[in-house]
Amino acid sequence: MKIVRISLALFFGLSQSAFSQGAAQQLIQIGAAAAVAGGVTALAPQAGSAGRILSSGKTVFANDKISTDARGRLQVLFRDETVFTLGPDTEIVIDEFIYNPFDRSGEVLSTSVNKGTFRFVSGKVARKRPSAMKVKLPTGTIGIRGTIAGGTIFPDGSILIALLGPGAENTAGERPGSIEVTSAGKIVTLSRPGFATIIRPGQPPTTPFRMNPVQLAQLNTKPKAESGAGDPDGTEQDAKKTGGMGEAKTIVKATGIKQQRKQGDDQVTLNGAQSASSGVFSWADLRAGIQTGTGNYEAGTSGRYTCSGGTACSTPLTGILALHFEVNFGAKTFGGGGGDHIAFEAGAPNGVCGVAGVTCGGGGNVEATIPSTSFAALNGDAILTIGTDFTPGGTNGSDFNGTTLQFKENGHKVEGKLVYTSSVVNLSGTTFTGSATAPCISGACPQP
Amino acid sequence: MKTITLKLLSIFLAVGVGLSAPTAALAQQLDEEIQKPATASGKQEDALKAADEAEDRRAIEGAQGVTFEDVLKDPDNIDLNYKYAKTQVANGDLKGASATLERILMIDAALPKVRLFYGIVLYRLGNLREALRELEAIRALPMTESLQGEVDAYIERIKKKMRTTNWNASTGIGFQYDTNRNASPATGQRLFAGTPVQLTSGLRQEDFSYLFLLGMGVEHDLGLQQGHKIFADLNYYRAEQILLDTLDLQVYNWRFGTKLNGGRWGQFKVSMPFDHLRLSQETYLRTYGGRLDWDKRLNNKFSLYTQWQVSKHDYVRTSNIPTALQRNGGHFHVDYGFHYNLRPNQRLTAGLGFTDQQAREEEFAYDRHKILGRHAWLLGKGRFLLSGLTVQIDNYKQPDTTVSPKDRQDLTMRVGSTFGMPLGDLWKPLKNVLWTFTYEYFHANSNLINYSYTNNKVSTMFTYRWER
Repeated sequence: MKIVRISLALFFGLSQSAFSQGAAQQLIQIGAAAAVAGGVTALAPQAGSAGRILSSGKTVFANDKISTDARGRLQVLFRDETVFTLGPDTEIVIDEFIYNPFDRSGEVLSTSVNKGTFRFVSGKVARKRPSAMKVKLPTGTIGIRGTIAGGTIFPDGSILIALLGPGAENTAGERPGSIEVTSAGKIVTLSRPGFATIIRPGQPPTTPFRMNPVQLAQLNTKPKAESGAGDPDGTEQDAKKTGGMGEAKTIVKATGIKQQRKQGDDQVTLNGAQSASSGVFSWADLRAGIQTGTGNYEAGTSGRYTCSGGTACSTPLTGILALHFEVNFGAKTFGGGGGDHIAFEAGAPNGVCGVAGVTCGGGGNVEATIPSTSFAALNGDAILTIGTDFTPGGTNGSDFNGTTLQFKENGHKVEGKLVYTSSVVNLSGTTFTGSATAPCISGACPQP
Repeated sequence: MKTITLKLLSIFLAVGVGLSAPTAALAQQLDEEIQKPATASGKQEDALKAADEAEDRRAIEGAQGVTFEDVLKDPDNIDLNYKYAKTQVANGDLKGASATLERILMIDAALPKVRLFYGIVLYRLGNLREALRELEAIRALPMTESLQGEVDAYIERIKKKMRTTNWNASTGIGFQYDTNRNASPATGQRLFAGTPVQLTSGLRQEDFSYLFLLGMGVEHDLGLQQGHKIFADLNYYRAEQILLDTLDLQVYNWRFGTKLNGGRWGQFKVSMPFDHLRLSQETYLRTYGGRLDWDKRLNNKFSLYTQWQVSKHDYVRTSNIPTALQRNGGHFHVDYGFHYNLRPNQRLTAGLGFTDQQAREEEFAYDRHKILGRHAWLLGKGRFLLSGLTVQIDNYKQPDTTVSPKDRQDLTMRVGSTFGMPLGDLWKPLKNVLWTFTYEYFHANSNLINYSYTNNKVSTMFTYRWER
């Protein structure tokens, strides 16, 4: 095992909470995971044999072995702004990363790709000294000269490696990039985007050649462009190859999705009849596939929260948080109706809180309608962010101005969490996580 | 003997014929005149190049305000990543922007605007095949008409660039106004055999001229990994004066050559140019030779360039210039300097140059030292502003005794700006038309009063471009 210099730790804070104190002291934070989808795990040898599930925002450590499953993909964001993208069924090890923004000498980024599909955009380490970045392959290495490159390792052990930019005639003001591919003692330089070489086990790299569209598609690490009109970039085909998407893409109908909170007895319910044009039911499918129907989220039948700060809660109050909003899948909006509101109810003047079984202890309410908000372009976690402006008649004539909703797609499940955040309203017990499954009415059912 | 006869003829033309203004202008500043078409073509080439760059930037002009550290804290925040990508573009880090946009599309593939952005970034990075794939992937998605238009336009541009053989043509019309078209001396006097003579004719003459440009070219990619190409261009330039017909200029220029990618040694362009210049409807000059251009990008900010040219100047006697043959001789020049990207949308160029102009009669031969500075500014929405300052010192190798026994020494300064904008924004059918407006101040200060003068020039040009 290579010794990873710990000077990095002097410059960046370490995230160690996930590990035992003894193990954590050896872990060096080198970046973060992003755009995680499917199953992604990381194993840092310093932490013993304990692996961990990587999700977006989680820390990546030096010497981490990162693996994606058949549906997995992610980006690893290094501190020097190098970005490594991994596709499904891929495994890399971060052998060495030394980056010091104050002393640029001796910087190194070395990774080993053991299997799968990868792509990288070099960052500051390679910018200062191109030879400082190296990618090792099962047979051969890639030397970087400030560039974008990608590759895929096939089951038979052969490796396709391609240069993806910048080219000599780029209009971005970038210095042209190149990579040097070494195997069996021979070096081949790729200097034009779209050209590639293949390494076969034990053999030198082939003479550079221009990739055909199929080879280009084999380097793709992104999901397909969503549309109802076929598979324009061919990634569906790629996904089928991995076995992750299943065979069938028949129409199924889903009704009555229920999401049960794990904490408290608040219930969030999405009702309504929707149809999805996919055997895989996900939030993305809800957005893209459901053309009609409505649903609603309802929360806040019980539970006590504390409101403090701001105009209405300058004196801390205890009450309930009530939330209700309609979802219109046809218009791809939520909120906007008369019944769409969010309220911190700490006792209405008439003593009625509006929620059965809750006793109000006096004080004031902070209540607002939720304006109509489009979620057509939203994605990610199902996150409800409560706006910070709850001054009655505030900027947009609405309390809790800035309230937004986002979704998260995680594999075949509808998975989300409802997170209340606000810099003004402090609510105890504000984070709830939950999951919901989509009942399969007909057609091929997604497997958990 | 022949030389003496020709000199006497010059004196006769200058004094005996009575200093008709156009002839006088020709006799004094022919070197300046024969450079005009090349200057105009060069400026037009710069303008078209700047227009291309400005157009490339149009759809993805940047913004500021998000840092990588912000993204690390919330890496799946699409809005934040989108702003970060724009920040990276504004900072000239398109490589990084490509990774950021890829991340957004990994999080949510159903964002046509982001995919368009991503496709354009890949296109600008020269990754044409992936750029095309990304843009074609969103062609069928529902989107606004303007976004669809952008997607289609870029697909067209990418396909053009991917062709093995590219043809292009352009034509331009315009007009120009000069305050002192005949380069009349500022003093109102001329020297003849060292004696100042008050001019009674040939005084400063302002004039308009119509400009016409026609060009076509072909470039063929040899299909090699290095990206070597061969090319050929044919251009025609014409400036038709309203009053001073003897200054009507036409030039036919033809060149062919090869562009070679030397990898870490830089880019080379080797060409053989041929010019045929007509003055007042008569063939006046033919030049042919060889030229080498080299440039190398050292990093994302800084690049070096040089240009070497060796050519032969063959003059032809005309009715206005019977002494033209005295100017026959070799021509050599070298320019070198650097480009520095002040910002992603602003480039500074500084350079030096040296010219050795030979002539059969040494009074027409000179050494020239040049210093120049240029600034290119892409203003957004396809508009641009090109500004430049050139200072030259010409040392003639022998006195022209018909003028003065002294060796001629000129110090000239040219400063000007060109603003350009595509007219497609005003009216869609004009999408291939570029409008440029130029102002230029020229001042020549010479030890011989004949050659000290000032000229202000404004010109405007509409250029239509076609490519396939």
